[in-house]
Amino acid sequence: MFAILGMPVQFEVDAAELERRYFAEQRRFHPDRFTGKPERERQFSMQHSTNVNEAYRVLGDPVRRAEHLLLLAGQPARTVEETVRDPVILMRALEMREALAEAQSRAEIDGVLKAAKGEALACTAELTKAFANADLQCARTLTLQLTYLQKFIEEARERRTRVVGGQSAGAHS
Amino acid sequence: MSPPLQIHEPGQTPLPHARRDLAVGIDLGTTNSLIAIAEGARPVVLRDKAGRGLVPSVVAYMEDRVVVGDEARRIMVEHPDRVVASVKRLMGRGAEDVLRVAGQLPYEVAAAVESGGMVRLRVGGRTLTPVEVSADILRAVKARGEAALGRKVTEAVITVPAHFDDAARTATKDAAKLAGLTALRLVNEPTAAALAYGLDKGAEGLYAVFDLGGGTFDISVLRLQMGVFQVLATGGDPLLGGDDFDQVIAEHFLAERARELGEAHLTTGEAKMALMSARLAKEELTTLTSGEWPIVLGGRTSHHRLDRAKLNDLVRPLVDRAIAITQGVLSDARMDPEDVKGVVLVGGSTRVPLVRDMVRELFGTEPLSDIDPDEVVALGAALQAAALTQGSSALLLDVTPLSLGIETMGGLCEKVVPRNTPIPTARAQEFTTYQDGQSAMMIHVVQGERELVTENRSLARFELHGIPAMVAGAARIRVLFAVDVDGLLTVSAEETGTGVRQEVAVKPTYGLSGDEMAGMLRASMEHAREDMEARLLAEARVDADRILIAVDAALRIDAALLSRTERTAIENQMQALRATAQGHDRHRIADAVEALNGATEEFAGRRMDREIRSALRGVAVSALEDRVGAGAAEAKK
Repeated sequence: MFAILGMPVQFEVDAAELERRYFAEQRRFHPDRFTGKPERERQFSMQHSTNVNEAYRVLGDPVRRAEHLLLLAGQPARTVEETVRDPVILMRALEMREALAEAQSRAEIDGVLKAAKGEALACTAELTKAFANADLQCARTLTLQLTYLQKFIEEARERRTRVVGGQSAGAHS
Repeated sequence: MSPPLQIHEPGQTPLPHARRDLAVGIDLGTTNSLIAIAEGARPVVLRDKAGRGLVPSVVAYMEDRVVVGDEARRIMVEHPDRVVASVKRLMGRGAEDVLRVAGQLPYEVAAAVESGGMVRLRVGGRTLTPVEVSADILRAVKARGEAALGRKVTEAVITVPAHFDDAARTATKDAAKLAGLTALRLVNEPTAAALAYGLDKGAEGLYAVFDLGGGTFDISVLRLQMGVFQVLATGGDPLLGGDDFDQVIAEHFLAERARELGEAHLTTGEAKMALMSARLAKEELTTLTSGEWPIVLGGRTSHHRLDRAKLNDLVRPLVDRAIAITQGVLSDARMDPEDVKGVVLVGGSTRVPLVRDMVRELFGTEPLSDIDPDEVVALGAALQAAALTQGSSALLLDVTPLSLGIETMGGLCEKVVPRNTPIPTARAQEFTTYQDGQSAMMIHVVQGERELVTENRSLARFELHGIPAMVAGAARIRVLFAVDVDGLLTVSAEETGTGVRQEVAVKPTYGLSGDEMAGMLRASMEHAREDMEARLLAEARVDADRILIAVDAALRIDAALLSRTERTAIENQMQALRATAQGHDRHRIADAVEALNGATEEFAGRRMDREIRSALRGVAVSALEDRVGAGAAEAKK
């Protein structure tokens, strides 16, 4: 994944550099650039463009990037079953959920969101350190924490848009 | 005329496809369709002689011909039963889907549809699939383009709603094939609109495209940066558009009318009439604040007053739905409304004042509509067509609109490719057997966001055979989903232990079967041949008429130049030609024309000699050449 976009194999990612390389690769190899070309070249373009998309998706997201690094190190990320057995992560997740459930106004939800975003940022910083120190056990726990935080932020954001819209945003049918 | 020589910069090789004709962009809309081309920097809509760019997506099936566009819309008044409008709403739909919305569709759906097949329409004594009706619209649009460009049009970029599922996309590609067009690429409508804005206005940053058309609603969030158009998230509703606005207004009018006149049931045709009045009211209330519209049915007229406030009340639930979907898409893109720099309005229904008001309120910014909302999608498609045939510095990076997955135990849907995944993409997932010794596995491919398979759209089913006997859970079945740049899916499955492998290009459950498609293509080619034959026959008859008239005239003036036998010979040939021209064999007509030409050669020569002699008497030499020239031309006929 790192090699496809020519990025260094480490947790820290220069977002602007990642973007620049992603766009540059797609500009050269996207199937739109190969419409009149022979079948073999078009196949290659399709394959490479697919790989570039996947690499961008993995490297652009801290949780997926961490999971991928753990996989490379032969220490796959923890599964859901392991999580439920971790009382610290479980407690914190329940607390945040409660706070979100109690938040009624947009300002209250904003407060919960801001706190969660702060925690996610801190968690990412810790992850950077853990990977730099090759402390994989710590990295596994932190990756799991970050997964939960990300899910929570998404839920909170969704709640927030519903409150702002002033209606019970219906199903996306 | 041969094209000028192209000289390339040293070291640069010419584009391999530089001599390819520039492809066109086509917006195949629910209400109107357009064709555009991007020669040079600016894309333009191709228009007819009267300057009209929009081709109403309305098709009338008359006994002897198919009529598309403005004329078909006029026919709708007299023969509503022969006319199909808004067929795009049925693209890629099955009979069951359509029954759910049957009340909203102003045409009759064929009763007997084999289960799981594509829906068919009964119109003007024919039974047609939506693909065939769409192909008729595409043919008309293509003809308009060919008339404007003075050349054949064979390749096009065709736009589709961003949320169109696999079946609807495949149906659109099939329609293009039937109309004799190669669909170089299917481009999502909001993405095309963004391309037109980005390239024309040099927009950069985060943009939302709010596309409310005649029948469909799309919302996309894109990042425009250094010529790259990156779609972050997209969503929409395949059954939300101006047609639904018309429907609620018509229902309001008809309820008033029922109270007033005590009418109950309406025929399909009458419903179409009421919808036309409703549509007129909606359009006029864009500029007026109130008005009155008549509905004339069965010789009885009722009058219906409507003002802007009441219109807003009627359509608000529909606009609310669009706004709710927009909020969901922003959330998918991990963005808030205030992050968006500009909102582009696309589609005729964004002219409705309430729509503009609610979009402005949500984003806190004045929406952009400086490129005509009716034309912007076609213009963007033309730009993409130019990029694909001639190269461009701009690049579109689009996403899958709906999650793709497969059915697992208990009728649950396991997502393999989540929505908003950049395309092209390929994702694999492993599944296993649930019975000891299980040798086959049914793979059911579905599209949609719901947990239960039955609430999602079924795309295809296929079976993987030859799994070696193992205990339950031991086999490893790897299912690979690949989505190409048109958003079309291919699925393959493999037992990884033994390499037993099967691949299917997804054949939509509600699509046309290969046989059906082949049959339609054959029929359309036969039609094309018949059409060509008919034209050549007509031309041969015109030739015959022309020579008969000319010889007849010559005989009346100069019969004296011929002997009796000579004259009879010519008259016999004329008689023969007249008889042959009544027939349908253009080759025999051409032969008879040739024979008459031969029989009159001597006669024409004598007439010319006489002409020259008489011309030489007392005519200035300078005028002589003209006379001879004219005489020669006459004799040739």
